Amino acid sequence: MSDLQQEETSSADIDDATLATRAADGDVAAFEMLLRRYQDRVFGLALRMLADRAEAEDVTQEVFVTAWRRLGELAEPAAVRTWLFRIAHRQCLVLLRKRKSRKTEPTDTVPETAAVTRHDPERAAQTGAGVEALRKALAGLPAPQRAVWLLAEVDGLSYAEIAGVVGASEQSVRGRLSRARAKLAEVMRAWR
Amino acid sequence: MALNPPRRRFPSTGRLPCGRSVDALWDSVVSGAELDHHSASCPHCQTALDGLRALHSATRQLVDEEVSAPPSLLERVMRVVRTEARSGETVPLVSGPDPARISTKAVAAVVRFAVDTQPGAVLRARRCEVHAPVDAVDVLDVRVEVLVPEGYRLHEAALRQRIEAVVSAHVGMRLRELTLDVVEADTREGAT
Repeated sequence: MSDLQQEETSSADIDDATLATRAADGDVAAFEMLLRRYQDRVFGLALRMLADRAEAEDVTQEVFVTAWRRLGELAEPAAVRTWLFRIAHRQCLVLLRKRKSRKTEPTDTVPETAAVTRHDPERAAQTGAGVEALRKALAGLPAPQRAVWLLAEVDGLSYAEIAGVVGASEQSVRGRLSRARAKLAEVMRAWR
Repeated sequence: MALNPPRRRFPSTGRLPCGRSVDALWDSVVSGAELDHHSASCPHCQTALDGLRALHSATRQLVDEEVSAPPSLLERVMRVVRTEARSGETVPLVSGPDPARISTKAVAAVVRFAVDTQPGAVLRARRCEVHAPVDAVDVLDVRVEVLVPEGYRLHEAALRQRIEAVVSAHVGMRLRELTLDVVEADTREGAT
């Protein structure tokens, strides 16, 4: 673990744009730093979108391999973070569409998105039921609404950034977020 | 007599029967602002607030969860990346009866190291091109983009000297042409 931490400290001060430019230039070490910096966030988004660990892992791997091959096409290297989210979002929607066509959508089962660790286990044990209810509620949202909600609430992206990620106007992002929030609140109220 | 509750308490228009918008109530939950006279006594607002407060608390817990990509993922991605990076261009390192070649990426990595570790300034090398001139031996042409902090006056001669010295020491070749493309950092580019 100490090697990994050391590497993270030494790369922490190199900005995204520099790493992305170098990686586009074929610099393997720079790409690895980007991968270390963003793999958890990309995996988190995929996990919460898909509610399936194995699929989330596949998507995350595919996102970074695609990124490595196509970094040269990235016009704004400083925007590499949202670009990674964009690839992840697209892959998740493709996967969900395939799942739907197979008609095996496991929406009735408890979504498999529980995190590995929590900051405060005691608090989590007391209040974890609320999170579980929220996970179920999220699984019930249409995928485009779920994506917008996660990007806004969990990843803290701005409306403009989300619009870029999902390929929609800011206005439609606001609309989706608002509808998602209303539906989630309705389920959460009933749960309480 | 109790009122018959409406089937949907959070209508898709985003407005409650009393005219208040769900988004405005959400903002008040997030900011913790005191409720106005209407919302404090309106049953529609109170019902909506119950759900929004439950959603807010569950959302905070969801955000606090630490989600980590599986440890094996990094190695799997990097294996693909290294394999694809290996098949790059090379330049002659030693000419004569027993010629040896070195990859341009390896030389570029040395150039970047020289720029990044230049004493007295936080410089970052970005795109770096390495070419072997066809009409000369044991020399290289290098072009490198250097990112300098905003408002910083780069001592170009010192940087050139350092790049030449480091390449000579680590690669054993002289630079025939060294082109520096100096770019001033845009402070809007965040690191993460």
